[in-house]
Amino acid sequence: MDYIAGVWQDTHYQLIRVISMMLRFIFLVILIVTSVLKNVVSGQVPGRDKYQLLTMPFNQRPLTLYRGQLHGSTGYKFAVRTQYYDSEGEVVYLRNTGTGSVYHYYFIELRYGLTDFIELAAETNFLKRGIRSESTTYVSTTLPSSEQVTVNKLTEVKGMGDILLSAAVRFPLEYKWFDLALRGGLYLPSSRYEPQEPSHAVSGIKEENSYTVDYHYNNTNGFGVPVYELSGAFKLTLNKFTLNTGIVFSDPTKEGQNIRWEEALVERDFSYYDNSYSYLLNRTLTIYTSLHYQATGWFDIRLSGNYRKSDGGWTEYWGNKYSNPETRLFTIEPGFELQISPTLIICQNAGFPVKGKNSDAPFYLFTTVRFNMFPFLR
Amino acid sequence: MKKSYLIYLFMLLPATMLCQTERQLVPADLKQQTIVSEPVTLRKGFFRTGIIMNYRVADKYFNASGEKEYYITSSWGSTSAYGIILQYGLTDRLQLDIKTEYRNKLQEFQNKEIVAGTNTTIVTTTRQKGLGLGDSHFAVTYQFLQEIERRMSLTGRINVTVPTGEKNPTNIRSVEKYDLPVGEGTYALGINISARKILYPYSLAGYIEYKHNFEGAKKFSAADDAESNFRLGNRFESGLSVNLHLNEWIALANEINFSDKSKGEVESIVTQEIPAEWALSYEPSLVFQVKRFRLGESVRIPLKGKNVPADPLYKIMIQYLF
Amino acid sequence: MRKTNILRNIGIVAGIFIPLILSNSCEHSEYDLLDPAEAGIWTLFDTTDGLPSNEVTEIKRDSRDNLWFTFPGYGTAKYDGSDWIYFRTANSPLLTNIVNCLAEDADGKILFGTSEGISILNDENEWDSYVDSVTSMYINTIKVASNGWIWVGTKEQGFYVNNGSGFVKTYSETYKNVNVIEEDADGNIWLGTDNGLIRWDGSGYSYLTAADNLPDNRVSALLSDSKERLWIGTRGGKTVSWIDSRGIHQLSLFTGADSCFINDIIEDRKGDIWFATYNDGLIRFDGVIPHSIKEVNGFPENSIYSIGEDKHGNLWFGLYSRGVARYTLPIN
Repeated sequence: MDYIAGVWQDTHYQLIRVISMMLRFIFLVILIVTSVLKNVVSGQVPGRDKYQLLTMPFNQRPLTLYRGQLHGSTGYKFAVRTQYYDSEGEVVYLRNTGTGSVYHYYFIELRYGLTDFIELAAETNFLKRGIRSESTTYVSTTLPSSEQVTVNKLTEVKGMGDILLSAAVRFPLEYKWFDLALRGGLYLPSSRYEPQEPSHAVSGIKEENSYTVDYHYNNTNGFGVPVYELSGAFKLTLNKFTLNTGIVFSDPTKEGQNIRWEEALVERDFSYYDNSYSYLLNRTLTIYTSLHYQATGWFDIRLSGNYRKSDGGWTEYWGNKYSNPETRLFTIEPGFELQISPTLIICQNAGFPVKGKNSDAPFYLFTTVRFNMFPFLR
Repeated sequence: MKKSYLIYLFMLLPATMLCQTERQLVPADLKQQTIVSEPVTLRKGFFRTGIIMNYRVADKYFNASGEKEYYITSSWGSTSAYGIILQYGLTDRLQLDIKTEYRNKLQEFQNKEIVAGTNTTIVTTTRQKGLGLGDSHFAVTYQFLQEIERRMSLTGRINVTVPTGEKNPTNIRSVEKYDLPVGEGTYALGINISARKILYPYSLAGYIEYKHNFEGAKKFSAADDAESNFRLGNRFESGLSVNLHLNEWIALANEINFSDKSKGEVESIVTQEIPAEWALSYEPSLVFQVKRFRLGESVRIPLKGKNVPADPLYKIMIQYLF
Repeated sequence: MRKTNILRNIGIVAGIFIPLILSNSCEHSEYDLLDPAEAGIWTLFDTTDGLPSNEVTEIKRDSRDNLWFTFPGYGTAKYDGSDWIYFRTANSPLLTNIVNCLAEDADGKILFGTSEGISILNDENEWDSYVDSVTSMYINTIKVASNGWIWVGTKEQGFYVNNGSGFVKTYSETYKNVNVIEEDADGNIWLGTDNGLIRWDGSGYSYLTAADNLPDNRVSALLSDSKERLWIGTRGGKTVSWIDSRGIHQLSLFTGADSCFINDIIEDRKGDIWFATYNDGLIRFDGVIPHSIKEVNGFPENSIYSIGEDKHGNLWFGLYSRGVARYTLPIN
């Protein structure tokens, strides 16, 4: 406790720090225990009929995969960002200022059940979005002026996200109505993080001082530094209803370095200069709860609530370190899971932002296709 | 007598056995046939109604050079439509379709002007919305060839578009503030030939369509005082889909679609105001059926094109067969 | 077999996550973080805060991160971030209270350019001075070059150069008023006069005037920025100019006026160029667009003498009659 208290001053994050350390310790203990007990308790898992395990409905499924089971998921999230929560939690309608945007998020994940209680997973993503800023025209006088420059600004974010490697362990008993699992993982940067040089352009030249400047910044996806993630999940089933809840905590492993681009326009040509800066990502805490109804053996309907909060990071601007604002977002997600065949499952969720602070509030539709198999089991 | 009874029994027995293995399909069963088992056109007397919803935002477009670009000014646009489709089988091969839709279009743009000399800021916001009934479409579909074991089905359709939607800008408060039109303002006649072959668990389908637009008249902008005569370019479209029927009541469809529209004319002069356009798109969809309800979800993703939106078009369909 | 499987499973997962468990991931360094709400904020200091005058003609930072201010008729002041120390003839050997400019030499001495000569203060608080025994010495500007030479520009007496052997005067009727002196990235010295620019390249002088595309012959401000551009502000031109490897370029400041009187030019940490003007407020050039800041935007005064920068990157603006305005750079 002295060690912890010596590092952290904020009691709120002392508590989170303690919880995270405990989670990691418990995770390691369960890891070892379940590995040892694997063969003792594996007989308690229902007879290994491949078809039965593949078609296990959600309300009877444990939090991790069965031994030898492989899930390959691919997903697409389409999000429309037309509103934003400001620092007071008030909604700002970006649509009204013409600065709404859309993002496309592609996701791929592989999960494998090493044992009936240990699961390994890897996931990554690809993101593409363009954020417009308000167009502004600068004129020198109110009279009909030959000096007029219109500025449009687009910030594009595009690229591969980081790769998350994780392992999960669950309660080492057959799942009947209660389950508990812990997961630990690490995000590793998958590609270059520094943004590429911008691709600005001048257009609509009417006179020497009358033209349009189109700024186009090219930013990348990812965190830029390794980030660890710890989570705990709890599942409770009563007949056709299931309650699934969990907590996810992530923290960057170190400070990062990035660059900002600045530009100079000389006779319609842009020159670019980069300035480096350091940053520390926010810590993030996510709490989710979902209520499921197993309508039929192959169709599960769900309603989820997600609360996400992040703070504690900072960004360097011009030699000074400014703390990052705290962000919060609460989203409601109705969705369903449809088992089309023993090997194919489709999930779809829609996200509706409800409340937040300093955060984008996009509506989104997330569709996942999951391939479900026992590749090594005959 | 005994002999005749025996003969009669002998004849009845196999008939009985056959009845046990071949259950006669009643109309209720026919109405629950799926996209795998149902014919291409509705059976005689069948009536199907459906609702289609679609949604698209305006974030990127294919420019005149075919490159995908963002709309770079601070503007936001979206369009959605809620359509009703009514289909009726006049005969087992002849089907009538009526489709109309309620449209919702939105365009918003904001620009800030800063005058350095007086250091004043003027914010100009333009917001245009279009709400209302769009154009209506009538179609007659005839199944020339019915699909049997080794033969595909071949279907022809004639479409007529009637301009029931408002074609001019309305509620004009200023050049920037007015309601958008929701109709094209022109009649059109189209011919479609399509074919389908089911090779369970797969199926193949393809079509070609040509649509001729007739001359119409409308105002192109809120500043126009009078309507101008115009004609939209004629449109050619073709598509090929390869579908996977996972079971009798769920199908995953994948369609590649190509469309081409020629330049339009205003006052008989070919104009850039109605440019030529083409698009190559991919449309995956999921269709599943629960009894007489059919639900479908699809997204049309433009892959390549010119002078067309580059954003996906999302569609949801619900149908019920009476 | 059972034992092998157990060991294998433990080995695989532990091999992935022991580094995670043992990582110092939570051990982030502690810094004094600034509140984003404090960025982009203007603060005004004037006589009510203890300043001797609301007219501030020069602001410079020395190598010890003190800020120095000059108040014509009221001496000079040093601000170390918390305290002000004032120097006047009444409490120091300052030659006169009319202090127009200042600079720091290679030895850390502060040189004050006054209406009667140069007062010199070393870091042991010992004073010295230099006056021209023959003529008056009304000093407009002092520049200490990278080679240690001290250049002094005067009103109506030309300029002086001290290369370590003492001040040597150079006078010509055409270039008798030297308003500003700057050193560019190549080590050339530029002198802004009422009749154009003079360039000293180490061996000889060359001259630039309005005929060579200067906005005006009355050069009043010079800046050599981090991108190796020499910015030239004048007292009558409609534009400002800059010289780089490609030649001389013009920039319209979008003031709407037919001429613009530039008093000072500075580059902030973002790389933006700030122009202090007489009667046209401040102009911030971000590389593409000139952004105007005036009284109508809430800025205290449209006439600004000078701009300085403190150790945190905050900008300080010396005003004609409203004191000093401090600006913390915004973070967007």
